[in-house]
Amino acid sequence: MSRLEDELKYALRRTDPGPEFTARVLSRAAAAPPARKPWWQALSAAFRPAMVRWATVGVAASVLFGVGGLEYHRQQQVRAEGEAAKQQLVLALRIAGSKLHMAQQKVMQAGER
Amino acid sequence: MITSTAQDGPAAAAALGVEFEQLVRRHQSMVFSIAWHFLRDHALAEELAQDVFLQLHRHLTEFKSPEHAACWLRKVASHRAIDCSRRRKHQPQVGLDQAPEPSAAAAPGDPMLSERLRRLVASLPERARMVVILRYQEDLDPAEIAEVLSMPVRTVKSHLQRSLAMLREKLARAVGEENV
Repeated sequence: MSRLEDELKYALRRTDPGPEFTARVLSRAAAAPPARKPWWQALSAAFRPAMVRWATVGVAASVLFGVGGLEYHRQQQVRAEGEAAKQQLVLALRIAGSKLHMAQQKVMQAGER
Repeated sequence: MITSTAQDGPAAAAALGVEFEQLVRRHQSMVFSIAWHFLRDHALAEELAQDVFLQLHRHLTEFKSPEHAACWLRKVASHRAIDCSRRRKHQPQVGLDQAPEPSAAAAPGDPMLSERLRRLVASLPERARMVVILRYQEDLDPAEIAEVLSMPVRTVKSHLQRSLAMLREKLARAVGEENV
């Protein structure tokens, strides 16, 4: 570095404004309204340990209820399908029985002639 | 640190207050000196420096580290000083070739020489002035200065070269006149 640059470094060295400056800044800062958190910080504040525990419990409960509800619905569906199958079987047996009765009557009529 | 994981409430506010005070004490010389060397007005420099720290206080929770806060302070102080100078109408800009000549030669390290140099620097155009201050007060290299002032590195180097050449010429002329 040249002599001029050395002189510039000396001439432009930092100057402390003094303790009164510090006191004035702190006083004005204390009187200022509190800083508002940006939205993303407020959101991240939700992820605190205690709240995480409660949130975990809530999520787990929601999952359990959801799974239980799905299972109940599935059981109901199986029951309904079984009932429908039973009804169809009963109908088929009635039809078959009716036709058998008709066939039996024809045989008897043929035997009497 | 500044983005403390402390819970909200009085304890967190107190911790932020302590951190803010530490930042003020650590960096007040830097912020004030940038303003002072640039504006050459003590009261205005102090007011500007206070405003910079109050702005820091408003955004205190957004800084990732003390180094981040320091870089931010340097950048904001530089830009605010330039803006303040532009608003001041009573101190016209002087071109590089119109900077005043020192009235007499002075020995190296002489306080008179230092004062003369400060006045010469203060008479430079705003951008060149801030480049010189950041280079010799803050010891930043051209790439760092370019980032602070949001200007190309080659522009920073050009300002430095021209400013040094002019300062050297002014001082050499004064010494030559003294020797005649």
